[in-house]
Formats: sequence, C-alpha cells, structure tokens
Amino acid sequence: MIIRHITYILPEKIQENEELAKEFASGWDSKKIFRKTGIRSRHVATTEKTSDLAVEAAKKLFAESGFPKENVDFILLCTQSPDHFLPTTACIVQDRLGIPTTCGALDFNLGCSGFVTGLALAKGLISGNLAKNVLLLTVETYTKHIHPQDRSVRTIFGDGAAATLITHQDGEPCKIGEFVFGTDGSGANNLIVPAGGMALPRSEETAIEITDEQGNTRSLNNLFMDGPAIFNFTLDTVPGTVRSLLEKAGMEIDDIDLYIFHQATKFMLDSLREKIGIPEEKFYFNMEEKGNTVSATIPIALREALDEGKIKKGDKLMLVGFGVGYSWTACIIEW
Amino acid sequence: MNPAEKTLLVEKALDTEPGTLKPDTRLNDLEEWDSLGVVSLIAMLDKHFSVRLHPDKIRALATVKDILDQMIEKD
Repeated sequence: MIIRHITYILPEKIQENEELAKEFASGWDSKKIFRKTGIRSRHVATTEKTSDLAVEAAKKLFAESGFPKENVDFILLCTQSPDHFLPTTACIVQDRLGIPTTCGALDFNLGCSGFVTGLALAKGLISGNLAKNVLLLTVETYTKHIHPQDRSVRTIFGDGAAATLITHQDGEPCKIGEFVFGTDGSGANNLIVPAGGMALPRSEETAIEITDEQGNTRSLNNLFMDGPAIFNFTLDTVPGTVRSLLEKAGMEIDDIDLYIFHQATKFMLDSLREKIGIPEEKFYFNMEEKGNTVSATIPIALREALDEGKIKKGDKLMLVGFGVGYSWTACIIEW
Repeated sequence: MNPAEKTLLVEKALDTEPGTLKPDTRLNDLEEWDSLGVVSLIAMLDKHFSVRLHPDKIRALATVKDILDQMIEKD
C-alpha cells in the first residue's frame, strides 16, 4: 500500500497582501501582514465550488499519473464547505469524473486534520480488502466563510484542492505506517462557523455584523477563530502527539527525515518546531504564496517537497494535522 | 532576568519599539494588543518562563505590569 500520486490545484484569483491592506478599514499594511503571518499571497475561490476544485484536482492527478480513473474504487472527499448539505459532494464528483458507479464515495467533515485522517481511512479500506485504489480529495474554500473585514482570519486562510491516490498491489509492502488520533470537542467554539447548520439556521439575526474590540467584523454566518485558544491547544497537544507517535513506531526524533505539519501560521509552526526540537532543515514550510488551505496544506506541502527534491525513496516522513474540532491526527509514512 | 530585560521581551513579543512600554501602559491602548500579539506573548512566556497563559488569564490582563508579573523564572 503506497501513496501513488499527489497533485494539487489552486483557484485562479490571487489575493496579495497589498490588496488586502487596501480593503481593511484601518491599520495593517502589506509588510505588517507578512511580518505577522509569514504569508504574502493566497488563492481565493470566486465562482468555483468545492466539486469544481475537486474535479479539477482529480483530472490533473489522472493526467499526471496515467492512472486509469476506471480503476478507482473508492472516493473520500474531505471538506467543510460542501456544495450542499445533501447530496454528498463526492457523489457529484464521481459523476463528473466518470468514475465507475461500482465505487464507494463519501464526504467527511474535517479541517486541518483531514488529510492525515483521510490516509487512515484509506488504509483501513484497503487493509480490510474493501478497496484497492482510493482517491482522497482534500478540498477547501474557507474564504467563502470569512467576512471581508475580519483581518484575523482573512490574512491567514487561502483556498485549494489536493488529490491523492492511495493504492495497493498484491505483494506490495505497506508504506503507510502508524497513526495517532486525537479529538477534543471542548474546543469546538474556538474555530467555528456558528450559523448555517442545523444547530442555528441562517436568519436576519445571524447576519447581523458585529465589530469586536480589535476592529474585526463578522456575523454568526462567518468563520470565527480564537487565535490564542487555538495556539494554546497546539502547544498543549502537538508535541505530545509527536512523541506518542515516535514511541508507537519505536523511533526517535532524528529517525524522521522530514516533518510536514499542517501549515497553520508561520508563527505557530516556528513555535512548535522549536518546542519539539526539530531541526529547521527537517521541517517543511511553504505557506508564503498559499496561506492556510486547511485540509489541503499537508498534501500540497508533500507535493512541493517532492518537486523540490527534498524527499527521496525510503525517507521516513511524519505528517501531523491539527486544528478545528479540535481534531488531530499524525502518521509516519515511508516514501 | 531584570525588569528591563523582561520589558524588552514583552516589547519584542508585541512588536513595539524598545523603550516604549512602561509598567502602567494599558494593554488596550496598544495597537499591537490583538490576537496575533496575544499569541506572540503566549509563545514568549512558554518559551522563556514555561508559563502558559490560558484565555481567561489573558482576558484579565490590563497593563504591562500584569504581564511582567507572570514572568517568573523557574529555578
């Protein structure tokens, strides 16, 4: 069982810091945005919906890899901005791609931990002899949830879609290794779009805009993120997760050739890297021109690291996703 | 670490010019006292003093002195 191919697409529209700075009511110039976030630009979906981005990423994967789409027997689609409540976006994607109707398909609702959890689901399906060729799509358009005058999140998030093919051929060793999972719903309200689901349907009331003490404006229909609470959560859980996973795999920190964490913010990544004690050259960072694309950050980073020659066959990689939920998943793979 | 050195750490975390913060400076008067500034502060306290500021403690901070009071060096 291996990750056979990874690719990604980004929406066409690019939003640079200069453009954002002009739109914000007060304060931040483009240099300040970069200094605070480590991000210069991010891609933003306009009319593209999740199924559009998913289909585009999948088509690119089939074109690059030469893998016949007819051989895909399961589609996993991770998103928190589905086309509809129902039907399942993965079903729409199956139809648009022309993947055989004998496949299974489902959406799963996770954010930053979505890719690594998706690998776990794929491993489970394959290990259980339920599928052989899993197409994992991690597609996110958080920018559609964000209020234009909310600097706290608008500077950070970008949109993107990654397509990953996990396959197994008889006799092939399993290169997707150990996993560690974590869930803590007590952090639910710290990264949330409060209205629009069944708990609080959208209404005139939920659309009322409120400006907070820091000058950020949003309504209950928009994304809210408590940065300090999320930061505390990551400092609390990620170092221990890395240690648990290494212990489970019988490995030490230095045995890992490259660490690819969810690309949350530069500051968070620097803090985590330092706290855990990972050398800079073994810690991958690539947010500058993409921002935080939620469940797509890790596969995008993995693909970029491959393209840059940072990963060679046999390398041990640790992938760590953490965030909204709270939810966190980590795994070790051998390339 | 003396108070001047500690104040410098706070100034660095809050991205303010060295020498601008006084103990009685009100945090709400600082442009940099936003969620990103708070995150920088959490990181600084954790790294240098092994102190973790949780959200309810953050909300209780009013002045620079309140932050300096958290910066207790462990033996």
